[in-house]
Amino acid sequence: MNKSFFLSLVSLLFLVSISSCDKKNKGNFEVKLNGFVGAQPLSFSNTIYSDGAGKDFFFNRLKFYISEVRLVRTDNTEVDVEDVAYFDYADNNWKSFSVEAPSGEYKGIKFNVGLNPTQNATNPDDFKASDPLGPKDDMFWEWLKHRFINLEGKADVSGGSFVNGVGLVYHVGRDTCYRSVSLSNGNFIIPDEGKKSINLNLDLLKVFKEQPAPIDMFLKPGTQSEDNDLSIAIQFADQFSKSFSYSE
Amino acid sequence: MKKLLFLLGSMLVIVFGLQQCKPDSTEIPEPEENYKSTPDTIKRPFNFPPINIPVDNPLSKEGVLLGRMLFYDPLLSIDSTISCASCHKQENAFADGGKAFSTSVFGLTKRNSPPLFNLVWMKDFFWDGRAKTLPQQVEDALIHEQNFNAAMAVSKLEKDSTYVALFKKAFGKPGNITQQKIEKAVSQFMMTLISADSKFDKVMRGQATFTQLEFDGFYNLFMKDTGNVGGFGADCFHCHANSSGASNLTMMDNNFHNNGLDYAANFNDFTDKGLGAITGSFTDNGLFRTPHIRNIEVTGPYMRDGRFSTLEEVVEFYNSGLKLSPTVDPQMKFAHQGGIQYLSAYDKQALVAFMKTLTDTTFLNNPKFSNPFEQ
Ligand code: HEC
Ligand code: HEC
Repeated sequence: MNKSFFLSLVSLLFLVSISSCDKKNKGNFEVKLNGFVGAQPLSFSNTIYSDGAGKDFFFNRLKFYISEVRLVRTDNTEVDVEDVAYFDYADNNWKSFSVEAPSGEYKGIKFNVGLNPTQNATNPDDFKASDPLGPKDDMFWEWLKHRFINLEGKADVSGGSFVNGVGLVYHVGRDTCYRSVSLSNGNFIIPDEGKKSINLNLDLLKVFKEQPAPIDMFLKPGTQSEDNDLSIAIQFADQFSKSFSYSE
Repeated sequence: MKKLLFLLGSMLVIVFGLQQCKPDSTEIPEPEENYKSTPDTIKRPFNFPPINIPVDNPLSKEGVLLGRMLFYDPLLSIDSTISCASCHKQENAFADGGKAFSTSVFGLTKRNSPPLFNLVWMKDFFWDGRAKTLPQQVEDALIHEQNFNAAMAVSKLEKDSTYVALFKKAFGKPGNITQQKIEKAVSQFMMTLISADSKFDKVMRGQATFTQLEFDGFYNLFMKDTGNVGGFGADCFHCHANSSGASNLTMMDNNFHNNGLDYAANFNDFTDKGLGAITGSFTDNGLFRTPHIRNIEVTGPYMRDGRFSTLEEVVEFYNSGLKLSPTVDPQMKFAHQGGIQYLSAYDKQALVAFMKTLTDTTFLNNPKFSNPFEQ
């Protein structure tokens, strides 16, 4: 290793460490995750939901990655704002992220659910815990790589005690479950000064009810994205990526 | 050579930077030396995640020694009868080896004492996760488990010149003894309790090999999904292994689960609500933090209430003793049929054989962790 290489490595590491400190809190554009089950806000505490069609259910875990976040200008050009973001609904520190974005008027947001193949090939141990790609409990298995989505809970027939309910475990990963999302839920303006916040809304009821491929919690209560249940993971990724919208 | 110079240069800069932070000391009668500690570090074991020592409690040799003494000293309890080590014994990987321990003031402990090691990678302490940091945990332990009275302990320690000197050295000026410093010192000692040298670790490092039985127990049962997904494994890894990175060998998921020990007819029917009593959410009732699987051979009896005495009983529980309840974990995929059911006699032996490879005799006998008053 020669000196200049060593130096550039050091400065690179330095830059990486600086930017990773900055990422989460600084920036004039903030994306806040809001979970919903239909019209009700998503809560892991003391809350049972009903799908209005014979099933009651609750959730106690929701974690997922989005990547390649772009803002769409009114002239259809796109601005890259973030490579990767991680949401953990149980952890307030991971419910939003802020980035630097040029001021101006925008008409949409695009991102992908999951990690692109390059990101998916990384090892969390090579990143700090504060980095979205760093170690996150329950979000990586050596043989399947990163989990893109981790949703857990339980379902029962309406009015049931949940004693005989069905455990819900959707562990969705692998490159084939990477999905793109393109949203246009109204124009918004990032001002020259100050900060713009956008609510990214995820409706979990849509995952299970949206046509054309609603997921029946009783028949398909989970997936590990292993070869023999990958089809459920694929269907889940399709449905999940169609369940977002944004609002100001 | 140039690289070396560069490294030396940066070290100089750092040393210089540190110097600047040192307070100046002119009119202190006692030698400065009495207030200076020696920094200490813990080595990150092979395939373990990075260690984050809290910035407000850096390790020092004196702090760790002080913590170790306090850990073993009955002086901390009101009637000077028990110490932390009464319930956390080294030969049991710092578990208590019994179902419950009787204290003179509070009677029996409500739950089994968990073993103490690898706490630097742990996020929630106690079976129900009610403490989020080690000092918080020590405070709780001191109050609830040990008939403790902070003021009383401080005044007892103040009368002991060895402790007075150690507190000064470990925590610097002003050198007084406080409850907070007791908590920090005990935490420092507990952070050094690292167990990562079992046969299992040696196999992972390529320095030993599993027997066929152990191999099957680990790869084909413990680490393999159950029948409905990837073959006929026993699926223990979802909770008793970690999936935060490649080869994270802590073997704990830092999470809460109901593994199906007790039947409950509804959300409020649990005798011990566990996490739910802390969060106040009925959907958390009956959930407990996954306990250590490392050193499991010496940490019995098993489960929070010590209901099983042997690992064979534990395995049989997962095979045929699971009970339904509203919050039983979705990973307990066979709870509806009372367990996995298909484990053969060989499978059960293999699981137990694998679990026994997690015994770390180096840790259990490490003189650095033993009673400092008996040396
Ligand atoms: C009377 C027995 C007893 C004594 C004395 C005692 N403990 Fe404990 N300890 C327990 C029990 C029981 C638990 C589990 C309690 C629970 O989870 O509700 C526990 C839990 C802990 C934990 C949490 C471990 C984990 O995995 O979450 C730590 C750390 C700990 N004790 C440290 C200490 C320290 C330090 C002292 C001395 C200041 C101490 N204990 C004294 C019985 C005891
Ligand atoms: C859904 C998560 C989960 C799975 C899967 C799981 N366990 Fe556990 N295990 C736990 C929890 C939680 C406890 C503690 C329960 C309690 O005491 O309330 C536990 C306790 C234990 C204990 C006793 C630990 C102690 O110190 O008392 C052993 C041994 C054990 N499990 C082995 C296994 C084996 C072997 C498997 C696979 C057949 C397995 N577990 C599968 C969550 C799980």
